[in-house]
Amino acid sequence: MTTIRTSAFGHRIALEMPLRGAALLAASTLVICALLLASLSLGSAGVGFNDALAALLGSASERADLVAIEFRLPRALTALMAGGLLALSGALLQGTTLNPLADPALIGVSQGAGLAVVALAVLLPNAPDAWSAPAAFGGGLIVAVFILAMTGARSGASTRFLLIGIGIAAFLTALTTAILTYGRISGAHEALGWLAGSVRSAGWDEVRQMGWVSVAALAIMLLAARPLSALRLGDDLAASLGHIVSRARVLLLFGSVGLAAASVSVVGPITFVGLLAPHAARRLAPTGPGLHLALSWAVGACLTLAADLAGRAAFGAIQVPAGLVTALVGAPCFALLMLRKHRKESS
Amino acid sequence: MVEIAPDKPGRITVRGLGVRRGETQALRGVDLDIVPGAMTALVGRNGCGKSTLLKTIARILRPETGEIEVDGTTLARLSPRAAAQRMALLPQSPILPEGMRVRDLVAQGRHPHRGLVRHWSPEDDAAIDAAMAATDTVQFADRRLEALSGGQRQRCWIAMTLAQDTPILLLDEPTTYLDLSVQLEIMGLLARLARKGRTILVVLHELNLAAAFADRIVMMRDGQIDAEGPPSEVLTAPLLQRVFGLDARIIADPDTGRPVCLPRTAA
Amino acid sequence: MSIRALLPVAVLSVLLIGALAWHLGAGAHAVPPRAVISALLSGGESYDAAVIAGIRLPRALGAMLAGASLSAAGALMQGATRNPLAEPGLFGLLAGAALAVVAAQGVFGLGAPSLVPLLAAFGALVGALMVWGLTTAAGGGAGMLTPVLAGAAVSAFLAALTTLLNLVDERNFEDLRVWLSGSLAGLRMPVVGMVAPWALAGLAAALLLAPKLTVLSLGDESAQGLGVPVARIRVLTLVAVVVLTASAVALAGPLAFVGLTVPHAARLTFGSDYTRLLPASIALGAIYLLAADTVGRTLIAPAEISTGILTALVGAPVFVALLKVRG
Repeated sequence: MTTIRTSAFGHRIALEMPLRGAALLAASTLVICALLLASLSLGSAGVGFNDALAALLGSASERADLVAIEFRLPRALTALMAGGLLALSGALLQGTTLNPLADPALIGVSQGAGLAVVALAVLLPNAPDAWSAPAAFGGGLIVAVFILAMTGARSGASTRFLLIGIGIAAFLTALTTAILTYGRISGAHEALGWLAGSVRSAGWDEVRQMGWVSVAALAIMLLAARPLSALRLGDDLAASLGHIVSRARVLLLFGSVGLAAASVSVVGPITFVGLLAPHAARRLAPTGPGLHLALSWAVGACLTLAADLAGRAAFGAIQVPAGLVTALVGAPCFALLMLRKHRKESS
Repeated sequence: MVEIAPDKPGRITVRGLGVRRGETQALRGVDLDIVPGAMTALVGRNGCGKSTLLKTIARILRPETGEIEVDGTTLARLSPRAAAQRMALLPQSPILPEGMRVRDLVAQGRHPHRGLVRHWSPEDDAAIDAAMAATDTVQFADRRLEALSGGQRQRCWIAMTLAQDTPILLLDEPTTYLDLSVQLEIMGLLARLARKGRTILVVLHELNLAAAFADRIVMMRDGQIDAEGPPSEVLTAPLLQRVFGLDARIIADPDTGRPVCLPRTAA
Repeated sequence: MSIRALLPVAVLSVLLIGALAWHLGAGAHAVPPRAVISALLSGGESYDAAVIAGIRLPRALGAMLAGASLSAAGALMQGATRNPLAEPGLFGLLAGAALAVVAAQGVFGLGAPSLVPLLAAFGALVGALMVWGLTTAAGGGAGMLTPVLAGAAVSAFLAALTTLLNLVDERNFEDLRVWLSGSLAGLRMPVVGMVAPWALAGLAAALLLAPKLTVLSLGDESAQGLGVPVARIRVLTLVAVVVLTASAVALAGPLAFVGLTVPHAARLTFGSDYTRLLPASIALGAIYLLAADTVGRTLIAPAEISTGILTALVGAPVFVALLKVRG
């Protein structure tokens, strides 16, 4: 397999990437750009394709500029980055638990973040909006720490990790639904929309917020690649290769939770992206952990962007939150993955 | 004339090692010197502690008492990375990573030699090439691991441990679940590696494989060393009776002169 | 019958009557025990009597029926699947029932209370079959994980559809949002009267199935060898579970974890012989939901804590503890 290699300072910094991976990354960048343009031009307020392009270049009419740049661009960028973070989070989670069905929205991390935000809105209705992001982060983190404390850091515990996570998710969902009944109906309805995972209200503040997290995600991606690939070989082998297995696993899990919580805090719990994107990425390029993370990011970004676009444009006047689109598409895909896993194990 | 001691790297010294696994005392006061540059086979009944000993040397299990030295350095004082530069482990049934290419698997062995942002170097390539040549796996380089047969996979795993470029190689039952001809192939490979100067410590289930290929045999019983020495000294009828509860004759292989254990089957 | 066998019956009866009395007497407007009894026996025109007969009694009966039904459903599922985590909520039945009710009311305008049990039964059946089918296709009948994963996926899918309908129709959501969280508030006698026959039939079926489930717990092949028609028992169990779940949902909305908590609590004292476990689960389930509802009404009176919050708060630790013990 052909690879691209670069190095500097007498090989002190050296990176490599298979040619096919680089091509795929370039292709997904193109898809993202196309989806972005589509996001800018499609929707209830018609802005033509050319107008959207012109708005990006700063030469459009005032109205096109307003719709495309002030409303649609931040929304699209937020969807893109949130999806990327979720996908990365899912890839880390699957790599550390060695379970291909792990997903931050399946094991309660997203639900913990969601409950924290809803509880904040109901218990402290006058709290400033800026509190909801740290609250979501805290909520997700508490769930992850709790599951970790209950299961320990060994890979053999991954079944229990998933089971406890699913139980926690059911528990938190029940609590969130019940808490919703205390709010005023308008607030509850709005919260319901957020809980369904929506980028509807995203503006440039959210874009900035997501941008910083994405920069952190890039660092995590570079550092996590090698421990992740070693963990795939099993704990014993990873340890004998010089990895400190339990520490690596805990750090990777925290990274995963952090990324998911950061994403949930802005767009709400979008389900199944963290599950499906890493699988799709593996299908596209079956090897290389670093590349796998990068491709997962790209696929997750595309999925969420497309889901937001579909939910916004496909159903006419009804705006369907991106999270519902991903759930309705993702659940059947999840079922297919379960079947595939079984076929593989029994053959 | 003074005989000069061979100053090969890879000497393992075990002193007073005690390991507890759950409720049971798996190792009770093990003292052992592993001869460098030779293949030593660990044998004994199920549950005698042979795998425990190997895993403790490999730092997978933690000793309760005693210590392990590698070339005069206490193992516990080495960082995980430094220890991984001195010895490599092949566990009994390593997890089969989905979709991994053989060359990528072998490249994993380079981890202890890599830096934080140095993902490859010419030395890495050389080590990987050499490891794959030594194990005759070059032709599989771009294939996926799960597409290979059991014996081919095992050679790839061994290539990975070779790429780690360590003086010591630890293997836990590397021939289990393989056909007899493949078992011989793997053992032959390990014997060649030992002749080239690696210290090889291998847990074996099959006594006759140990007798045919190992330079030294360590027999374990109830978490202790029962006998240790070259196959011709250790493989004796009384010892087999004591360690394995086995009524057997020992005959010499007409080709190699090595001992062969022949259990009595007549009723 | 020996004293030993009668003792648990006596204890459970006392507990049930105690919980019922507490439920009827306590609340935002406390009613003394004597007034409770006289209101129940002779009716009357007093305010106390009106509160008891018109508001609390239907609610208490609803709590008992819903708790008993969910617990019996959980115990049946655990017996038929030999999976300790089997429960209407985790296995997709509640999500299916909720979706069916929301869809019928929102989309088709079928809001009549008499239809709710039927709709819920249909939805629960669909949810159960989806999870069962996916689990079987994925070859995971034996392990704990596969059915739970299938349940999570199916629940996520059905819940997304429910949310979608709620988002589209804000008025329908307002009507149903309290019910969706699992609550007994506002339950009236006609509804209880309508659901009660279903629930009682389901409970009777559960009791009849109990001895077969004990044999089934030895494994399919042993059960077959002992002459139990395994497949037919499974189908009958599914029908009973669906009817029980639907009754509970019609009364109290989708209450998670009750079907998990109660049978396992019963297991601690009554062992795993289903001929003892099922009656015990039924009685304990009635007591449990009566107590939970009373606590929910009195703790921060005059406001109420939704029953769903309380059952989730109790149920989640039980779930985690189960995994701790079995893992």
